Amino acid sequence: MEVISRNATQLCDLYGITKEDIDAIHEFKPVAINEVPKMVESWYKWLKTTAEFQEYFADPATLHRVQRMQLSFWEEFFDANIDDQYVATRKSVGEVHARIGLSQEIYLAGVDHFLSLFIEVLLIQDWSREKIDKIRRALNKIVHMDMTIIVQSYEHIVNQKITAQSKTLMAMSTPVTQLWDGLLLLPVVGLIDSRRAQDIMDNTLNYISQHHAQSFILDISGVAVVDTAVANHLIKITKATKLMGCECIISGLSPAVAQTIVELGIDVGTIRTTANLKAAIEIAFEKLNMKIVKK
Amino acid sequence: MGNWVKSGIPIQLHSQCIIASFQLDLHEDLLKLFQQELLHEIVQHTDIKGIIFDLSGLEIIDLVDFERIKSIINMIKLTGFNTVISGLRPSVVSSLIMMDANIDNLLYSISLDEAIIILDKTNDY
Repeated sequence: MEVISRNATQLCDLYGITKEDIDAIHEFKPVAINEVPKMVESWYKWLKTTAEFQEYFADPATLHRVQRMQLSFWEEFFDANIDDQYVATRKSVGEVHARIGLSQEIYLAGVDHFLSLFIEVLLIQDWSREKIDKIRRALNKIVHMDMTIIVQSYEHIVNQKITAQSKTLMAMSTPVTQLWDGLLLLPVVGLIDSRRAQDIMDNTLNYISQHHAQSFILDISGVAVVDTAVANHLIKITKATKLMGCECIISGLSPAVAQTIVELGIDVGTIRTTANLKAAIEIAFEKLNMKIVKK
Repeated sequence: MGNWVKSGIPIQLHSQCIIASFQLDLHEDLLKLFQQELLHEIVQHTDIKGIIFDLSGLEIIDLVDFERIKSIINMIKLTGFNTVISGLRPSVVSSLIMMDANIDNLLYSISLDEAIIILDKTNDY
């Protein structure tokens, strides 16, 4: 998941931020910056009513630090010195939000809150209409640009997290073990999608050829849902093991799964299926000409 | 006629089984020659258990090749013998499955030993 990262000039181009806009912001700065502390206060007053407040700002020290950061954020905003440094600080704001798990909802609500307060302040100024319009437009542009940078970096971090997680999942998703000489067991847990099915197939085929296995038990008692797609994947896996000269037994079919398979009209063909692992092991041992006896 | 041109696929007799080891890339002319050689070999022996196709030397088998192999197996069936396909590689298997090859009504084994056991069993019935 590659993020297209634009530098400061490209971002300005994208949002059509010109020298004029920046001048307009500068003109508005002395008035607005005086109001910011009040706005921050009113914002936190609102935030206190939300469930998120207790989670993130319960500690007064944290709250104080975040408020200070917000002041400097808006100061930078009205300096409107849009360079790569500026973009980088915005990016890190998004990254922090993503790391602590602050939802986008709250952040976007906050931006909207501040923007509307700024507009209020702007409208009560004794300025010409044209000037007000110009400043308003400039405010919008820069706020939107900020939002984009922050949301994008947020997304980037979240995507990174997801990729890392799915990699770990993949690694532990196909634990093929050898139960006996020539008998392999693969317990499948969770969901089976086409990628995972392919993974399972590749892994088992390699195992079968390495260990010269003649029987293979696929235990699906941990599979949550068996629908047509999943059943087809399972059928494919059993076909593949058959081509290797290895008999596949699917064990752990719950009553619910058995019902859905028949109701969906899935043709399981000649696949051996059992309700529990014990029955499957018995069948497999029979095939291996072996028997478990009590001492 | 076939005395000068050979398919190059060795056909051996072992434990009363005819074993054909495929090692070259399969193409149509080669398979035709092989088919003739094999059928001639089979009719010369009367006391064999069956035929084993050792495909462990093949890196790639496409659908057309697979269909041809199946048709040879059907011809052998007409002479009254079973054929076991032995030693398919994992990569070959997953590509065949991906191409949705029809693999029913055939015998497969992981190794030659296993193939001989399978042929023993099918003759018991």
